Formats: sequence, structure tokens, C-alpha cells
Amino acid sequence: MELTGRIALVTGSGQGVGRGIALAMGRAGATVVLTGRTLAKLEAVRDELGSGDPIAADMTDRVEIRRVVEAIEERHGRLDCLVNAAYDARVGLFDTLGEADARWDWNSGFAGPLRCMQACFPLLRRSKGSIINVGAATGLKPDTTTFALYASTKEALRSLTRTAAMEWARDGIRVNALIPLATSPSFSAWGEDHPDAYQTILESIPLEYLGDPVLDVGPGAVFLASDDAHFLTGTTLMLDGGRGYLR
Amino acid sequence: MNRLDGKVALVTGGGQGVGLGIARAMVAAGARVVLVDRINDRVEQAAAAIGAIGLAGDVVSASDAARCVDETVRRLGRLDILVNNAHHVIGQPLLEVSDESLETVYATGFLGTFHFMKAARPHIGRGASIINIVSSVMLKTDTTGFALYAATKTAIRSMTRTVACEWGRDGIRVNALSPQTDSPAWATWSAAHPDLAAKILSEIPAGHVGDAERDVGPVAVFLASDAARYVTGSLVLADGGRGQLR
Repeated sequence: MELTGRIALVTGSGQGVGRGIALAMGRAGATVVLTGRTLAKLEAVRDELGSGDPIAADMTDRVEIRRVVEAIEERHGRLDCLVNAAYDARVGLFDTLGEADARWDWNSGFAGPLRCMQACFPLLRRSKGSIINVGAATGLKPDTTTFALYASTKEALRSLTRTAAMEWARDGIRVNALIPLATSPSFSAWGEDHPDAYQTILESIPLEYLGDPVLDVGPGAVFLASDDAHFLTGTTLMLDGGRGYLR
Repeated sequence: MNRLDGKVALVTGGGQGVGLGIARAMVAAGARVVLVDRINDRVEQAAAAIGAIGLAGDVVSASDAARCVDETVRRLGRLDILVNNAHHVIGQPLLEVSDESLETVYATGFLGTFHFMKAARPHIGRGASIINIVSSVMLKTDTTGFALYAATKTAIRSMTRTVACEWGRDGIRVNALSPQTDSPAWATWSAAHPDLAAKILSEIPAGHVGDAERDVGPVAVFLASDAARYVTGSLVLADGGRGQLR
């Protein structure tokens, strides 16, 4: 299997896209370190997978990130892939958003991943590993209404992805982004609040269905983490049924 | 006829550099201008030199933003143009980025723009124009050394687009402007990094680093004027051709 013997750290793996990527990587042979704020969710993913190493942690906090990275080195001896999937967005019209929303969104979706990337750098350099940051199609759309924070944080993360790819290429670390379009608890909740917008999204997917995080998004992450993607860095892989168009 | 006659503009980071150059061009185009800058002496001298009003204020503070906007409206009766130019930029390798530099680059750039747009909102209406200053760095293929700069400017560009979408029906236009100009920050940086400065110069098809007032100022005046009434949510490059949009 593509990832046999590899160790992957997936943040936000208790649900949604993070869970899907963790399950797909585990089924491709990787040992997956599952992090998130709620241990029970992580343990449920481990039980579903039949393997994995759940560690409850706030992956925006430098001290907690260091604790996780030290645990990985101690228990597994190496790290081959970091997947930054954790994100708690603040969505709403600009007029309704405050500084606390902005700071929360940025810390969760940009500063947290940046700190994880820095903390994992030594282990990833040793293994010639890779980083996958989860972006969002939202920032690529012409109409980003209600996404003043969401779209800007996710686009900033893609910019950071590019910079890390440039700076760490000589260290043998590849850094890519993927943009998923898949079912998740947060997307479903948003869909219940915005049924018309949700329906519009469904109708705009060329492949005519909303992706599954395990079956549709997961394989893309497995590919990016595998040796088959050894010539890919600094780029964004669209796993969205053809809905977005990068140019 | 001057294109900004009767309009009132507020320019953050207006005490020097790009902000001051844009402010000069706006004064010349007939606008009454308020400069906001963190450093009191600097903003007072700059304002006196160009016939503007200078206000001391720190863009990272929501209350400073509200105070500066309120004082502008109290003294000049209205607000039509907001130029979010202030941004404390730190260039450093990604591995060296600390929480302090994260805070500085995020708060002075993204949050400052966020605060001033929110503070301006109750005072502006149909015909108003917001210009958020970004950088061609965010468009470059190789952003080595500029992790925070490129990312925060990217975030500001994205927020510009969103606010343009949300406020467009109220007749408020919001655009991003990417300048490439001479400034004290550029002078200091280029003196410290002559090789990198030469590389940047080599990337500018126009062959020279622009002048804030003469090269970028007219573009900002256009975006602020009614001539640009159908331009919103856009990114305009006034950078001698350095950046590429696609």
C-alpha cells in the first residue's frame, strides 16, 4: 500500500474532512496520529479504522503542539506527513463580525497550521516528508458573501503553503494544499441554515454529487502524501467534483 | 475640474511613504484629506506639509479607528474615501516567525483594515470608495521570506472582495490596489538588502520603482473618483508591471 510504514499526523480528525483523510490514510497503510479537541470523537475514528493514535489537543497552542510532536517522536520515532485539517470558522455578514470573530478564525485556520508546520519541521526534514493544508473553494468564488473571514483565512493558508514549499524544498519537504468539497457536520449544519445556497452548490458540481470525505477526498490526500507525488509541491489539488477552477 | 472636489478622504499610515503619496495626489485632485498615523509628530508634519488634517491613531485598535473616523466626520462633515494603507510588515523565514510577528503583521494589516471599514460603515453611502493597499508579493511564484506579508495581503485582498460583494448594493465600492513605490520602508530595506532590491528592480518591466504621488497616486484618485463607479471587488496593479493577474 502507498503509505505502509508511514506516520501521519492529521489535525481536526475527529470529524468531517479531517476524519475522511485520516481514515483513507490509515486504510492506505499509514499509522495515523489523530488530534482534535474531543477525545471521544478521535477514539471513535480509531475504532472505525482499527488502528491509530488519538491525542486530544488544541493544535493552535504551541505548548500542546509541542507535546503532540514529542509524543509522536517517542512513540513512533518519525513523522512523514502533517495534514492541517482543523478549522473552526466564523461565518456571517461583515457587519455582524467582530474583532473576536476575526481573531478566532485567523488563529484557528492560519496561525494554528503555521505553528504545526514549524513544530513538525525537524521530523519532516528527517523523513523527507510532506505537508497537506486543507483549503476552501470559498475563496476562489466571485461572490464570497458572508465569508469575509473564512475565505481570507483559507486563501492566506494557501499563500503560506506556497511560501513553505519554496523555503523548505531544499530540505526535501513538499507542501501542498487540497480543496475539498465533501459532506461534513459543519457543512450540513450550514446547509440546514441556508437550504437555497446549499442546493445551488449541489447543482453546480459537474460530477453531480457532493463528495464523501473518505472515498472522494481521502484518496487525494493519500496521493499527495505518497511517493507518487514526489514532484508536486507548492500547488493546490482540487477534490471538488470539478466545481472550482484554478487559473 | 478636479475629480475629487467635495469629497473627504481618510488615509491610514498617511505619515509617510505610499499613504502620504496617495494623500498628496488626492489633495491635488480636490479632496479634503485626513491622515492617520501611529506617530503623532510624523502625522502632524506630514499633514501640515500637504494641507491635510493629521490624527494620531493606531490601526490595531478598534476604538482608535472609531475615534479617527468620528473626528473626520465631525471636522469635515462627511467621509467618502477610505484608504487602508497602514501595515507593519516583517520579512523573515517561516521557521523564524514568532507569535509576536504573527500578531504584528496580522493586527496592523488585516485587523486595521477590518476596523476602519467597520468604523467607516455608518458614515459612508452611495458613491463611497474604499481602497485597500495590498502587494504584488502576494502574486509572486516565489514568496520566500515573505510568509506573513504575502499571506496577510492575500487575506486583505479576499476580505476586500467579500465586502465589495456585501456592500455593493448600497453603492459602496471596495477595491484592492497593489503599488510598487519608493518609501522610507523601501529605502531602508533596499539599503540593507542590495541584492534582493536589485532583483526586485529587475522584475519591474517599467524599469524603475514607482513614485508614490506621481505613479500610484493617480491610480488611487481614479479608484476613489466617480469615474471608477463600475469598478468594485477588483485588484488594480500600479506596480510597473511586476505583478501578473490571471
